[in-house]
Amino acid sequence: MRLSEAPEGFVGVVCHHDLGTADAELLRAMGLRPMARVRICKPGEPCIVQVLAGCGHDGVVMGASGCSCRIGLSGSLARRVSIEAIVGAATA
Amino acid sequence: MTEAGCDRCGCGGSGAGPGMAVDPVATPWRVALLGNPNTGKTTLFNRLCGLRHKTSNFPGTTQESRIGVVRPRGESSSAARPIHLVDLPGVYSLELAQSESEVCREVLAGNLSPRGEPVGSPDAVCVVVDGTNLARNLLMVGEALSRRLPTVVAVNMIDAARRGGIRIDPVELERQLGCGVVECSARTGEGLEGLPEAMRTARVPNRTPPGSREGIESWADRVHELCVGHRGLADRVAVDRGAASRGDPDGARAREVTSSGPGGWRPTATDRIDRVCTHPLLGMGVFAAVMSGLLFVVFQIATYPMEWIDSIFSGNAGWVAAWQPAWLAELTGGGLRGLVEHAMPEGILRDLLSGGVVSGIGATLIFVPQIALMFFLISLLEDTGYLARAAFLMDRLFRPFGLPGHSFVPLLSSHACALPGIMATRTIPDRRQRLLTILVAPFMTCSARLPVYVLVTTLLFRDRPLLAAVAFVGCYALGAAAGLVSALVIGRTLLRGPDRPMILELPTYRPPSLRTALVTTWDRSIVFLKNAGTNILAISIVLWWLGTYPKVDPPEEVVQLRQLAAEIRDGRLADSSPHDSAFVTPGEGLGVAPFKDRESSARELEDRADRIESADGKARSFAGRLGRAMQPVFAPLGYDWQLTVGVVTSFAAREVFVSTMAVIVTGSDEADGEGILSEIGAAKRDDGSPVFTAATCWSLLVYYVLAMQCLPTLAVTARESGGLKWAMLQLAWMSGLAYLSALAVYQGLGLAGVT
Repeated sequence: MRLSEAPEGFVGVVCHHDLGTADAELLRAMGLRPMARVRICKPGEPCIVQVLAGCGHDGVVMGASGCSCRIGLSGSLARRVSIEAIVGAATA
Repeated sequence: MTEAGCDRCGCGGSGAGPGMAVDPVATPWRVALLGNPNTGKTTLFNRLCGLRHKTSNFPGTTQESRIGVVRPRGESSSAARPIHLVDLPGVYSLELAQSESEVCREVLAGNLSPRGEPVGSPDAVCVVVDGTNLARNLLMVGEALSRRLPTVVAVNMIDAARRGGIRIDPVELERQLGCGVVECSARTGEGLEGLPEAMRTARVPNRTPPGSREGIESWADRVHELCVGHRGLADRVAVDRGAASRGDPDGARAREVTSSGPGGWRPTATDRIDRVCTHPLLGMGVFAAVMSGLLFVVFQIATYPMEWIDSIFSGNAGWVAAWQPAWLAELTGGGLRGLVEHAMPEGILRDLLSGGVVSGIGATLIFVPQIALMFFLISLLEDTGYLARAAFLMDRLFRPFGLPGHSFVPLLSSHACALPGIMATRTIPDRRQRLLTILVAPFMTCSARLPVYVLVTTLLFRDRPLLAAVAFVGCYALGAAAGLVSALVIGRTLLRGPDRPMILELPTYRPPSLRTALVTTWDRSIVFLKNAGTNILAISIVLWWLGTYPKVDPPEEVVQLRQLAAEIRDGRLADSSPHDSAFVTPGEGLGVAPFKDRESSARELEDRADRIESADGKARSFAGRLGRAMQPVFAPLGYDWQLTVGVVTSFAAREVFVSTMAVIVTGSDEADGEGILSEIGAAKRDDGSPVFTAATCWSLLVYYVLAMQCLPTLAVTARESGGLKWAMLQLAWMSGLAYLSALAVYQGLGLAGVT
């Protein structure tokens, strides 16, 4: 599922993206990296995601697989990032 | 510069490099302050240094730096050694291809230092991390540790982390990082007393994180896992309720951070506020309300200190005069300018000081209240977290024109003055978009345009204040629209390139820090005075010279008036009765009104003679001659030689236009009075027709909305864009657009029968 299509409250992990190098590096430095756990705070324009510290893809604690900050992305970027739902994670 | 860490890494050095004798008290201990954005780094710097800092920049870059002094405490020699804290730009990674990251890399490598500071590696690095967001911040710590410099980690916002149920084990963290760790809260001051000593005793870390990006990420994961724990959800709820009942904002921040476990999510306060503030319609409503309030406060409240400054430099004005005792009013009736004229003998030096230097300083200082207030409010808004949301809202509006949402704050600042607005573009990550913003920032209506708007809208809509207000607002809208369209045109021609989509961290909403806002305001104002003040002062002196020289003999009319005044005062004219035909005749021939007594009549004639002489002197000065020579260029816009002189002399500073017109038309530069405005409005051309027709006024208004009439802005553009060519492009583009638009307005109105 694309990040831009995820509903509010959806919790998932980042699978892959097709971003340019500069944007990908910046997002990675901000904590939005492969296997980072994210929650959709607000879909749309801008797409606001919270990168979460704690559990990973299968619910196992992964340490700092992410962090607890909000990142706003323009819709065009959110359409180029794919996420997968975490089994058992609650959504809104 | 001392060699970093020689006294800590076991090499036996003195800490000053081979062969160098160091006075441990006199030599400052230089510490680089490093960290992610939104970690409270600036608040920490302000808390440690207060106003004991200076703003500088890194040579060859546009990056600003602050260097603060942490005063020593205690009796030991190490404690007596002052700390120079170098505030580096906030970055997410040292390895990014951004100018901020490059500056940090070079400073840590010892290749770059703030201007005025010795080049060399810092003696220590203090990495500021957010205790509520340690996971990501550890990546930066890993990058810093790999530099092998004496390091200390300041875990900031520790109070908020505790309240949110985040438990950080400082002993384990210190062991894992191999360097000192200090838990602190810059907002409350908790733990800060031990930080300076920890900086002085920082050691080279005895552990080195892996070099690769993936390696640092895995290392950070492991350190986080070992050192950070969360309370159970039930504990957190109890903590949340306690914090909520105390109205605790940091507790709210921490709650939002920790309510993240699977199944435990619920919308937080920040989520709910964001739904409104980033909504396409509701968000714009909130934005309009916030910006209206901000601009209202800036332009309403700043009026008072501006009036004080005006009264200090130019003389008593408004209600200030009413509060002064009579003796003080007598002494300062002409302000500093009057005092100089009163205290010094006549001559070039007196003219230079009163007409050039004092006026120039006054012209600089009068803008400081608006600029300071604008920065203060912007800083408060930024601290709440709202400005990041506003940037996203504006991104939607700006993006079709090729500008990013990051341009919003620079363009907003430009409504006070383009200089700080252009300097604020340093926060725009993409160079192309930054250049675009710099080029169009001067289109925003700055304070210096306001006197021209007041004059022309008053002339256009006398006794119709509502229409004058609409025209005034229209000027703001025209300037903003011209800026956006110019960005579109330049972005699709000279500065073509891909648009970088917007990525921005959105901090949790929180109450702003007054201390941070005040220190930021102080910093910005000082930078403005340093950058703009010297330019404006120099320009004022040059303009004074152009408008004053060459000295010419007074015209025949002036000689006759003064002769008449002398005869009246000496009693050579028979009687001062206004009905005495023998007396009134000569005065009437020169347009003198009947008068009551000898002295006042003589004074009236002398004042009139002074005004005529001043206007004649201005017309025959270098500036006047230049205006006459250039009049054919501006004739198609409806300007006669007097207006052309006003336009030409205000080329370097547009606010000069009104005072120049006042001098040319009335011989006095006291342009604030209603009577003076009337006199300017009644000015005649050489053929007897009015200077200010409706068509001329509209043409003039459009010209001043669009024209680049500000030399300091050009200087700052050249510096910030890294080349004179961009400043020249800005000048040519804005002047060309202003000329053609004013031409179209004047000729169009002429065709429509409006004169």
